[in-house]
Amino acid sequence: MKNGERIRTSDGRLGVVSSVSGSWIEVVFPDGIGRVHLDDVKPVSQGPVETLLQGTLGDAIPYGLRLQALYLQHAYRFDPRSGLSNARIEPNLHQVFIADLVTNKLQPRMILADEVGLGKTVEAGLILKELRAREVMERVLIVCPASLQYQWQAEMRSKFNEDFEILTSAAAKYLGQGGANPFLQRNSIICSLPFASDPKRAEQIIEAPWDLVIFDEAHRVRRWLESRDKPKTTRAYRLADDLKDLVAGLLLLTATPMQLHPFELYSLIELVEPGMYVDFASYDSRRKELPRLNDLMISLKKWHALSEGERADVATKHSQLLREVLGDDVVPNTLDDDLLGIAMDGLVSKHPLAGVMVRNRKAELGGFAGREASQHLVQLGDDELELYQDVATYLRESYNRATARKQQAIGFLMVTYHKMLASSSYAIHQSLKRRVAKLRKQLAGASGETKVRGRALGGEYEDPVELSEVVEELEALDFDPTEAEAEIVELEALVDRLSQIRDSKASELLDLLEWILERDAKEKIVIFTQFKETQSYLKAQLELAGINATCFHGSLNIDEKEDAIRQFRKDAQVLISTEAGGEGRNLQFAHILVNYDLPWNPMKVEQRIGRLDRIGQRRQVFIYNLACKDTIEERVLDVLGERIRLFSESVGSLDPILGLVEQNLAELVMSQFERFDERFEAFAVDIDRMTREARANERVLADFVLDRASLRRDRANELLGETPLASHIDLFRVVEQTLDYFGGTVKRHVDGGHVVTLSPRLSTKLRTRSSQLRGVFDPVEALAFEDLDFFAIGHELIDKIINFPIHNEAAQTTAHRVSGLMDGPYLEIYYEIRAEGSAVVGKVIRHRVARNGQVNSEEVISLPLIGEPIEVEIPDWLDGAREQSRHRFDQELELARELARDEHLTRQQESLDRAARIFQYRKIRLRRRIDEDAAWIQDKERFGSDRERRVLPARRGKLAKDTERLEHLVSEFEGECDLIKATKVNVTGVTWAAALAVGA
Amino acid sequence: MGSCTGGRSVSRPLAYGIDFGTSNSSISVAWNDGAEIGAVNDRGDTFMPSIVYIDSTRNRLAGIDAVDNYVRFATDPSRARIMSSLKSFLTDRSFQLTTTAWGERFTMPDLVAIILRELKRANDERLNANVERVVIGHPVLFAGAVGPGFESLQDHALAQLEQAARIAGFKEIEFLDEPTAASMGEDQTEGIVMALDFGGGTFDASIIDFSAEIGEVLSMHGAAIGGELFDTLLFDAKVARELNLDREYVINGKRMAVPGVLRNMRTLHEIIGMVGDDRVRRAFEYLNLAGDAPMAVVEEIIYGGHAYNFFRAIENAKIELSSQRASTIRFRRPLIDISIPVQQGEFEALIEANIETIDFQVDRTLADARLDAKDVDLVIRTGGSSRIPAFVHRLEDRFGQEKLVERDAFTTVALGLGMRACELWG
Repeated sequence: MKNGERIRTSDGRLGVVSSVSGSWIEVVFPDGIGRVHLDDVKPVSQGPVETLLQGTLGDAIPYGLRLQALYLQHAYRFDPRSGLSNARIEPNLHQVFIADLVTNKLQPRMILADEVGLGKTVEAGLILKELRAREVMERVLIVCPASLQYQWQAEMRSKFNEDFEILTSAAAKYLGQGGANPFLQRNSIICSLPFASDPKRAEQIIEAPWDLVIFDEAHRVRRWLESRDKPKTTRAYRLADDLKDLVAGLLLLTATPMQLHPFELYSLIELVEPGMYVDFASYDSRRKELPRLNDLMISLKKWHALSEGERADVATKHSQLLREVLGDDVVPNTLDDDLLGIAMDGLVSKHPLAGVMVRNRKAELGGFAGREASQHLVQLGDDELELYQDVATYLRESYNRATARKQQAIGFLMVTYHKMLASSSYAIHQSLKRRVAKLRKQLAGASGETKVRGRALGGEYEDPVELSEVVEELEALDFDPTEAEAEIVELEALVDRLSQIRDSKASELLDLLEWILERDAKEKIVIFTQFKETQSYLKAQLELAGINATCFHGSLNIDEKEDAIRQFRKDAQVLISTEAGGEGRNLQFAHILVNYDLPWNPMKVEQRIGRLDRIGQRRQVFIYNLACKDTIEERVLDVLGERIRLFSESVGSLDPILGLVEQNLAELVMSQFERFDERFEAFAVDIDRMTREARANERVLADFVLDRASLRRDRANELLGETPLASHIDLFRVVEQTLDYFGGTVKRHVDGGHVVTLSPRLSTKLRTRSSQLRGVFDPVEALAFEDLDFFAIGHELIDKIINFPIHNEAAQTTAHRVSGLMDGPYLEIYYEIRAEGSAVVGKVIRHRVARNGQVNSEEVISLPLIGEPIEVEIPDWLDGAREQSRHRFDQELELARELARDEHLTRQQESLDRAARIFQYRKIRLRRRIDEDAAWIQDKERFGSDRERRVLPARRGKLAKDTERLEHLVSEFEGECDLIKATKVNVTGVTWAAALAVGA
Repeated sequence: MGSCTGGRSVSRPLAYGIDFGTSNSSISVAWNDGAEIGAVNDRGDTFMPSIVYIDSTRNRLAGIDAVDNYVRFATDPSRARIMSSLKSFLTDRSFQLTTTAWGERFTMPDLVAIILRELKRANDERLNANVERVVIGHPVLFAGAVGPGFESLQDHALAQLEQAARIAGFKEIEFLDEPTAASMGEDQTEGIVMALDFGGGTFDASIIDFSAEIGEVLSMHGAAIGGELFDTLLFDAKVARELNLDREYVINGKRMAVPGVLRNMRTLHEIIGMVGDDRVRRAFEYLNLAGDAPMAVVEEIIYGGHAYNFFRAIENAKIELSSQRASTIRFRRPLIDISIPVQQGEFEALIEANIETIDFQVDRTLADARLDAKDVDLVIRTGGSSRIPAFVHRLEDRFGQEKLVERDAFTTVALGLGMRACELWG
């Protein structure tokens, strides 16, 4: 702050500095002199060129830092490739392609339907990140199954530095204090499907504006035909249906679109692109053309391998289709690569799902090493087997008593006990012991629970994060006091026997682990069990055997979970995990999995395997299944392994069948059927048949046209191969230089990554939580350090650091020595052009004007370097040079305007077409309904029964309303067209900085 | 000469030679056809201060990075620690563990390994290799290896050093005493040589007679005068005033000078002692009672993380004065705007008395050896301060320009160790 400088105070008054003493300044205001603190004033801004012309030169380093920061921000916002360098992912071709495809659609709406394990979450994240960077998306809602909420939150945070808040009932209550809409209190929200479907919550969601809504497991967003012409919907579908017209972006994620009934898939299409088909029938007829499209696609793909005769056959067979995609004048037997490409693209555009759905398949993508499973049947000792059967009998009896009394919670408890029994004798022993203690307490008169508290009440125990915890909750339930005494006697006998029994399964596990580790001591092995009790038992057993094991379960907090995974990655040989690790955690650095026990729900088993068998797994995945002979486990293993072939084949197509397995198993196991073996066999045969049918279906449906629509390798390779405007190396350099200047460091950490250290003053200025933070800049290195912060644009601290130099007005000008430049001085001016509107495009231009007025204009596509400070006289020819630069820039801006306008007009027309299509669709639907109703009324007026006549006035009223709506529809459409026509593309030019540059 | 270039791209480095010194460390790379000096960090410096830094993120830094990070962090010892002169403690059996406030424990080899590992890493990465052999230098007697048990103390120190090398990732470790190493790296010289080592802390002059097979030291003298002393002189004369350090203040009616704890900020080493010191913080608070924030700039330098670059600015001006008549100590940051012109004559006047003293030591050394300047065949000057023009001019006047040569003092031992490695594994 200098005397005579023009300033503006924080409350908006203008004045001139008259004197400075310490951090207080005296300012002459229009109405008198005042004393103001330095922090409360800002110099009145002036363009950089004017400042330079006045002879005010800032320092070279802050000038360079400010320029670099502006450049990084620009690159992040305008370079579509920047999403990749700011995401902690190993970019896969198909993900890159899909993100590019969706973000360049008129509206980012798509059904993302890749097979399980291909990273749909990452695709959604890349799309979200890119839209965020363009600053066209602010409010985002993710709706997913309750069990996946934390996984979504964790992945968005660690992979994309996107902080989402999970809205549970409790959180909603807190945020909704004073009647506020909790969905309006945060911009990035995750909530569960049941939560969002609640009528009150659905209303709140619709009330809040959203830019992007993502539905995960979207096959649960269902509309289906119960009978002909009678569609039924889930609440979730009704919510999505309401949202579809209110939001610009809509992503539906599902792995099983092909198993849906065509009407259900059509229903999803209606959400994503309403009006693409006027009704189901028109979709269905297009769908029936699919085999023909595919047939031709297959021929085209192997065209070069076909003989002359075969080519002629194809040409004859598909003559009409070929004419449609290639035009009349092409002779089909002379297709070259260009024409083949055109023909294939033509087929893609004729696909009924083109533009609304993408689906990549592992078989098509390739590169997956596959799975190999082996079964280890454990021979139990006679005493073990006898005890097993006795406990099973007890559980079965209790279950049936409970079912008869409609005590569902007790029934559930008994089924879970049965699973525990199959898991380990230790687990069931612990549980039954707790149960006895509880019953004793009840008898002694302590107040018991007659009802199940908390989540168990809401039926949420059906799919808990941690099964063992629900068991503990349910164990608090009272028994019928008249039976308690007998129960105790029976239970105590069992508990006593359980406490003395050995455990053959655990011995088998130890043998197996030793065998594996003998062959390679560095192997990482993941053991899954359903129960925390079994987990802690195994950990102790492994430790006795000298095997380093670490545990992962749902009751750990976030840090403890990270710790467990880190320890497994670094030191431990074995990770013992409950189902909580089956969801979300990616463990592809390990390739050996042991199922110590098996969940009865095959999807859970698939989830377990999916942690290892996924993108990034470079080795074959070995699965070892343990089961005790002659127990229910052996049968479950048979169903999962032999019937469903869960361990050898993809289950992508089996979702609807697998959903039934657990319930069926529970009923079979717990019911006291006489011919149990026979019934079980019948069940197994049934499953076997359904599985085969579904798989056969999937093979028939293999859709080569859709494959091509879902991944164009050439385009994806192009995207991956292009050099981005700014890389993580540039970001690191800017952070390093900025910190060096403002009082901090970034140094490599001995164990990987880097540490940012801030001086006390800088830490205060940046308002950071702590003065040191370790993280990783390189996205590839970051993958190996999942527990460390990912230093990229979007990370809170990194953003603060790189943006710090921007608001320094004194750094708008400088005089510096620049390498790669001859002689000088030149007038150097940096401009930015940005086009905002239907398309977001930007460009950075640097002018260097010589004394003779010649302008050298260059597009800046790499990080501007920081020049060396020099002392230089202000030349007298700058005015003229400025005029030359301005003149040139005006031309450049005009050119950019024209380009943007053309692009905008194209997009505008597309939007108008889309609006017209939706309008036509609505009009036809409505008119059809009016016609039907009119016909009905006409018919009933003459021939209707009394009852039918009685509803006639109501039907007439509805008809009148619909007719009115039809008219309204027209004006609505016109209104929307006016809105679209009113959209403009806004092209602006900004002067970033000006300097005197001298050659080195 | 050991150094050689060309044809290296196909061969692999054999081993490293590491000179782990009390104040500075350096490294050489041994190849099949000779040894060359390596880099001590990614910036390509040839020697580093033997200083280590540890902090609560469990990071470890060595050399100038250690100093840089510590003075910028300017924190209390509960978050970061810095240690120097580790070599002097190698004989100390009572040194057991350094336990930090954040729960990490370090043995002496752990701490030494921080330096060795960084030296290894910087060169492994540069050469894209994993070199696991090393020759490490050691003094004839380690500091503290005295008294009746000196042999066992010496063994203890060597064992500690070897363990540190293992922690740092070396598998084959050999030792060589430093004087032998130094002579291996030196050209074979003949005649009467005067060696003048004018470094950061001391000036040493010696006359060696190389006429015989083995050099014989004829006489030796020295003085505790070096670059650091000149830094403090320059600081006191030119910088202190600019920072309001030599003003008097009136606080509660009492006239007082700036407390000593604040005035001792004349070198980066002194700053290291200040940043974590609570007394310093309190002194600032007290002085600020005088109003108009007299210490604002000094506080910003220390607590704003600018001390390192500030002293580099002073250093740069000093170096410029070796070749220019005038220079400026210029340092600008938000809230800091320092610009102090310095003339070469001014600086020479500041250090003149010291240069006189040194000149006198040269006289004495010659006199003790009963030699005249013209009897000396070669004058070798080493150390950063030996480039000061006033000093060089006097030598030229006395011995003649043609007899003067400059050698790099910091890397001679390391180079010899590298050549030893060539003999061992080449």
